[in-house]
This record gives sequence, C-alpha cells and structure tokens, in this order.
Amino acid sequence: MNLIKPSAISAVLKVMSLALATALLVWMIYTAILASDFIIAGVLLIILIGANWVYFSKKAVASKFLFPGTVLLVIFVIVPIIYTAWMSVYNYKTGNEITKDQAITQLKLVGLVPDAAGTTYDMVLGKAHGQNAVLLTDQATHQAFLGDANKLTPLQPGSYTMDKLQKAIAAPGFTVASATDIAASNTWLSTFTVPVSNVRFVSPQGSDVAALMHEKFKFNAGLTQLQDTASGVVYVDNGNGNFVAKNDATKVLFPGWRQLNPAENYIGLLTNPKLSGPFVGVFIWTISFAFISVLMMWALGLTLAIAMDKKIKFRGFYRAILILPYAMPSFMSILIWAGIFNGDYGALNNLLGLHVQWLNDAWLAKGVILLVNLWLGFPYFYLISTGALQALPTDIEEAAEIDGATGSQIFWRIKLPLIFQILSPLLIGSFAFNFNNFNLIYLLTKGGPTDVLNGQTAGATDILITYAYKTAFGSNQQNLGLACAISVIMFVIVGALSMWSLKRSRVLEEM
Amino acid sequence: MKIRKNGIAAGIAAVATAAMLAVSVPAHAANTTINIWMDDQRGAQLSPVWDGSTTIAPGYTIKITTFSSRDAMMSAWDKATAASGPDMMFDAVSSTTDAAKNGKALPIVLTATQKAELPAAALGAASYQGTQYGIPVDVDTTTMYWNTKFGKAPKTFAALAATFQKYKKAGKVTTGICAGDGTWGALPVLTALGGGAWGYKADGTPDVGKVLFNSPAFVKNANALLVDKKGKGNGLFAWDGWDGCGQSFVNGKALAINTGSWRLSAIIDAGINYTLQPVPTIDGKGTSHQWSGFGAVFGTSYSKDHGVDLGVKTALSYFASQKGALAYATATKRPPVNSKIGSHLSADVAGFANAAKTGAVQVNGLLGDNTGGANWYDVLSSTFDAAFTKGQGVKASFDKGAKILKVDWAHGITTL
Repeated sequence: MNLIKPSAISAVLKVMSLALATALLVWMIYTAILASDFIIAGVLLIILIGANWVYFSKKAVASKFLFPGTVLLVIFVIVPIIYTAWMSVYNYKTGNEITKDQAITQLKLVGLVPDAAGTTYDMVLGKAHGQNAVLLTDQATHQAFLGDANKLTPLQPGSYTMDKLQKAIAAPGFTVASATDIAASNTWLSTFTVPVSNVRFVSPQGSDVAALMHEKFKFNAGLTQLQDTASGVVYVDNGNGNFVAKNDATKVLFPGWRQLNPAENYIGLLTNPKLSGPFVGVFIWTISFAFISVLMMWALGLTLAIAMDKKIKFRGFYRAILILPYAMPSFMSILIWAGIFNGDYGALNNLLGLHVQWLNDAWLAKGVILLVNLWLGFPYFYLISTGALQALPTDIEEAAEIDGATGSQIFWRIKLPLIFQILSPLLIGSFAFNFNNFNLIYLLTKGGPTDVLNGQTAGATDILITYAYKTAFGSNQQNLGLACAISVIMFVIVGALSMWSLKRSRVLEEM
Repeated sequence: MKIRKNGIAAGIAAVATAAMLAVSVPAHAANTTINIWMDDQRGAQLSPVWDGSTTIAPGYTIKITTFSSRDAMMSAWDKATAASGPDMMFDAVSSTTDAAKNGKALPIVLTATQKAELPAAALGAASYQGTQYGIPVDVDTTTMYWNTKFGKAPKTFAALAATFQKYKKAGKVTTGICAGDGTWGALPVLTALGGGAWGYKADGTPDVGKVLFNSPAFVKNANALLVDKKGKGNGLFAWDGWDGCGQSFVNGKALAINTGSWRLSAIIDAGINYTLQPVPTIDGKGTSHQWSGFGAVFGTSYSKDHGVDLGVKTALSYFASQKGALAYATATKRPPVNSKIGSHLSADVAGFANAAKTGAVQVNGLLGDNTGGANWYDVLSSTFDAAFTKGQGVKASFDKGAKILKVDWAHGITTL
C-alpha cells in the first residue's frame, strides 16, 4: 500500500532542492554585496529569479531543461568573451591595473613622505581629556610629546614616566589603551594625524611608531594634475592612464590606471613594428600548424583505419596498440617527447650518436612539434575514421563495383568524399583545437627557439595563444589589454573559419 | 493552484534556509586578523613559528596562508581583489616593486634603527620611485660549490681551466663550471673573465652607459678559455637548469657549480664534498661578482581595505627587527639581510651571507626590461647559445647581446 504518492515525493524534493538553491544564491548575493561586487550580485539575482520562475511556472516547461545549460554558457563562455573584448580596448598592463580613483588614492598615500631628517617617534596610544591621543617620544632626542587631533604638546621632563629604553609610557591625564583597543582602533588610527605646522604632521606608522610627515604631492581641485612640492615638477594626466611630467613625458608616476583607449591595442598590433612583425609571423605559423596537423593526423588515422578495416590476424591487438597514445595523458607524453628531443641529454641523440639541437633550431623545432602532435592526435582520427568507414552503406560500393569502378576509384571518388562529409565537423573542431593548442607548444618548446640576438621577440613555434599568454604573463611586464586584443582576434578568426567551413560542408543545413 | 502552493512552500523553505545560513555568517566586527601569503617553502618553514601568533603585532592575530607553489601564489595574487587579497606577502623583492608600480603595496616609513641594521642596497631594492614599500628579509645569492674530489678549489680561472682539461682528457668530467638555475648563476663567470652586466658610478649606482657584457677583456679571455678549435664551447663553462649541468655536478661529472643555498640539501644528499668560495678571477686578483637578489615582505593596499594596515606596519617592524630576522633565518635557513644577527648563523648560511657582500644588486627594473627586444635573461641564454653551441663567434654574439642590453637599460633606468 502506497502511503505517499510518487508525485508528492517529487514535489517535496523539487521544493527542497529549489529552497536550498535559493538559499545558497541569497547567501552568495549577500556575500557579493558585502564585497561590493554589485555586478556579480545582480547576475546572481537574475539567476535566482529566473530559476524560481522557470521551475514554478507551467509556461516555462521547455526552459526547465535549457535553463541550467544557458546559465553555465553565459557564465563560462559569454561573460569571459565579453570581458575579454571589453578589456582589449583598455590600456591595461603592469602599472596600469587599477581604477583611476584607486590610483589617485594610492598616489595621495605615496605622497605622504617623512621629513628630510627622518624624525620618528615611539608611540603609545590612549586617551587624554576624553579624546583619542598619542604619547610620543622622539627616537633621536627622547623628547616626549602629547598629541591629539588638534596639536602636539611638548611635555616637560619629569612630568611623565619613561621606561628603561627612555620611552615615555605614562603621563598625567593620559590613559593607555590596551592592545585589543588599538587593533579595534585601526580604522580611525590609520587616518589620525597630529598637526605640527601648516604643512607637517605626525602620523602613526604602526601600533607603536609614528613619523613626522608632510604632503609631497598637491593635487589640483579637479584631480587632473599634481605638483611635487619638493622638486616643483607638475604632473598632468596624459590621457593614457598616467600622470607624466608636464615638460618631460618620460617622467611617469606609478601607479597608473586602466584607461579606455579603444584603438591602441588593435592599431598597435598592425602598426607598431615591435608587435606587428611577430604577430604576422606567429599568425601564419598558427594557421599552418593547425592545418598541417589536422591534415597529417587525418591522413594517418584514415590510412590505419582502412588497413584495420580488413580482417587481418591480431587485428584486436593492433587496434589496442593504436589507441594507446590517446589513452595516455597528453601532458605526460609531451614531456617525455621533450626529454627525448633534448639536444644535450636527449635519448634520440644518445641512441643515434648525434649532436642535433632538435628544439633549438627553428625548422627542426617546428618539425618536432608537428611530429609529436601527430603522435598525440592520430589515434583520435583513427577512431573516428573507423567509425565513418563502418557507417558507409555497403550497397554504394557494390553498385560502383557493378558499374566497373576500380578499388582506387571507389575510394577516391566515393568513399573519401562521403567520409569527408561525415567527418567535416570533427575536422573543423580539430582545427580549432589545434589553433589554440597551448599545452603542446608550451610544454614542448615554450614557443621557442627565439633568436633574440637577431631581433625576434616571438618564438619560432609560438602560436597565437602562447604569444598572447607570453604577452600577458610571460614576464614581469604584463600587457593584459594587448593579450585580450590578440585573444579577440583569435576568437574572430576561429569563429569565422568554423562558420565558413560548416556552411561549406552543408552541415548546418542538414542538421 | 498547485503551482501557487508549491511556490509558497518553496518560498517559506528558502527563507528559512537562507536565515539559517545567514546566521552562520559571522557578524561584521572589527577585523584583527593579518593574513600573510607565502609560497610552499616559506609557508612550511614559517607556519609552525608564526601562524596564530598574537605577539608579532599586539592585538592582531597572524594567519599564514601557504600556497602549493610560488606559481600558485602569484596566480592568486594576480587575481586578488580587496575581498580576497592578502594583507602581507613574502616573496622575491621584485614582487614588492611590481606591487608598488601597480598600486597594490602599502608605503612604509623606516626608523633610524631599521636603516642602520638593513643595508642601503637591500632597502633600495624594496623601494620604488623613492618610496619604501618592503622589508628585505633574506639574500638570494650564489657562490661556487667546488667538488673537493678534484682537489682544492683553484685560485685563478686559468687554473680552473687547466684542471678541467686534465680531468676531461681522463674522461672524468664533462663540465668545468656550471651556471646553475639557467642564466642566473652565470654572472660570476662573466665577471671573473673581465665582463659582466653594467658598470657602476662613483656613488655605487649602475652606470647603464657602460655595458661590460662584450668588454674586450672578456672576449679575449672567453676565446682563449671557453671555446675549442671549432669555435664552439669546450665544456669548461655550461649553463642550464638543474636537470642539465647541475645534474652533472651532482653526479660528480662537473668540477664546480655556481648556485644558491637552495641547492645545499640536494648536493649534500648526493654525497658531494664541497667547499664554498667565489668563482676565481682570471689572475686571482680582485673578486668575481654574483647577483644578489632579496626576499622581502610587504604590506598590501588591501590591508587598508581590511582595516589592519597599522597592524601590518607593526608586523613589518617586527620582521625588520633583530628578533624577527633571527626567527626568520633560523626557520628558513636563508642568509639574512639584517647585519646584526650574523653570529647566530650556521656555517653554510654564513657562507652565503658572506657571498652576498661581494654581490651585485639584482636591479629588476634593468634586468627585466625588454625595450631592446629581450630582457637580460633571454639575451644571456641566446648569446651563450649563439657563441658556445652554434659557434657563431664570441665577439659577434656578445656584441649583438650588448646592443640589445644597452637599449633595455637606457629605458630601464628611467623607470626605477
């Protein structure tokens, strides 16, 4: 006897699942708001509303299946693409990573400098006359002072207590704060200053040290320029994310900020010889590498598939052997190949008694890259070609034989075009994969060799993705905006090629 | 009707669950935790000493976050935001200056005591555009490990070359001196032979107009000692990572290696008996120079967002103090920057501390600049490759390298 109907159980499970998801999303929204990530909070809110509407409305039955995938697609594909495209129009690199407001705040902080004599004080925090106050001892002269937000008052010797290090630790009317109170006071204490004159003030530099400071940078009212009060140099906003000296643009203040400059990265790629030179070379090699790789892998995979299509002895064993390279993690294979081709200590040179720098010569390294990629990729093409061969209707072959076609004619004019049509989407996908085959290049050659002595800045085996990675992260001088621009170009190329190829193979029409 | 019932039920359940979760979120009290990021090595060594400490910065609790590797830490640092970023970070001093350039480091003011105990060059390395940001805590430098199986360490580079030829003929060695860790350990060989990076002005600052890389003395000595009749490297000098000539040294197939204290345990574990000394100069006069980099700790701009910036400054004072420096050096076994704690160090650590005294400060703004097309490290490996592997001539190769470096440094000096 069923006490509870299955529909009731599913309803309860549904309500509980959604309640949990809703609760988690509410919590995440709360956390995002606390962290001032309002865009993330907004996106989460949309997902929250969307999920509840989709799963509690009869009007959105179809969306129940599409909703999770759509959300993941947006988060992991659409948003990164939009963000990358957005960042590609910014001057976004080392020294120009934060916002202008943050940069100005930081410059104001950097502009607070110690006086020329480097006067520092031992400091005891507490209260005097009901106000926050500090008991200061000049570390050089051991003169004690009582300071508050209004003034610095020298204390007469004998009117305060010193410890054995000649540091004032108590004074009449001054109550010492506990360590816990000090930590709790961090927020106000970090902006607390004791004025000494119109331009100088004492500022805490920790819980127990203070320094005599002055303001080095004076900003104008609009925050568009600042003056170094020590040197008199005026720095102006250069419109590209930095304050630079008015009379000498090579004098640049850091930090700078991310500046919207839509054309800079893209035009730079085309017109700046330092960027355009390597970019064109890398682009040509990327296309060649992806095309040759796919062609070779397919040719070998198909040849083996045809060979294995015949009933030969130990066929199962051969088939197992052929897919072994595919079963092994590719990064391990690549590292092993890198060791084999090492010019100094590699197994290949040792076995053959050679001294060939396989990875240190541009053309040899390219050859090695293609060879290793062939090793890694042919089993996949062998598998899909085998599947395609087996999927071909046998009556076509029989009809062709009856019509007097030779074996060669049957293969080239009938089987191959059919296989090509079946495999087109996979060939296109493989081309796109190899277009962005970062692991192979980076683990095998790191994009090298780079003939830097003859002016090369990109490696002979660098493809666009490794070039973009090096541009963004390859040194301590990162250029994230430029890397984003390269990524956008890659996206457009791969997208356009895929669309064109798919249309050409009429796959879209047939789907 | 059913939909409405489900919706109401779900709403009640959601609110109840959210309320329960919200209760579990701690109330927003004043933050007193200082979160310090460290890589796997420093983290493992220093966590037992400092994690949870409430005495380094009274009123604040130290929390050490250890990453699985330096790469992992730097990756997290690149992505850090005010919400996720650390309050302090230990790393190579270049991270301090990079953070300063990016507006992510907290400016600090040094006391007279700190200035007296920490060398000016080390403090300079942790400053940017005239502002102090970090406290240098250890010296990353190299020195020459000589395998005593081949006798006593030679007093001149010429003697080193003669020893190499003797053992090479006997088939006992393949390498003379190895510049370990890529090109980092190569400078002492260059300077021993009369070359190097840049010259120095009278005040000790780099003279970037004086490029020593292709000096006539170096070219002459390198041609005489480092290349064979075919114009390629003869094996006396090798350079590459630890898996190359470094492994040869561990296998007893190299006379010497120039590397840092971080290789000590591997060399000891391999059973190599060694002595530590500078790479000898060509005639035994003067001394060769090796790069001196520094490890440093700095406070981040995020500490201000977290409301612990003063605690961070207090902690920095502790790390600059003798007490803090000794605790650090004892735990990490890295040569300290603080000059006042030398007597407490082990012989090996003291050996590297001594080596640092003749070190050339690794000015990252110059070495990392690639305005000429490539930075120092890439130029060096390409030049060595051209001169000693491909046999394109010492003079021709080093002249090309020098041309690039001159452009790099002329630009780099303007950014310091």
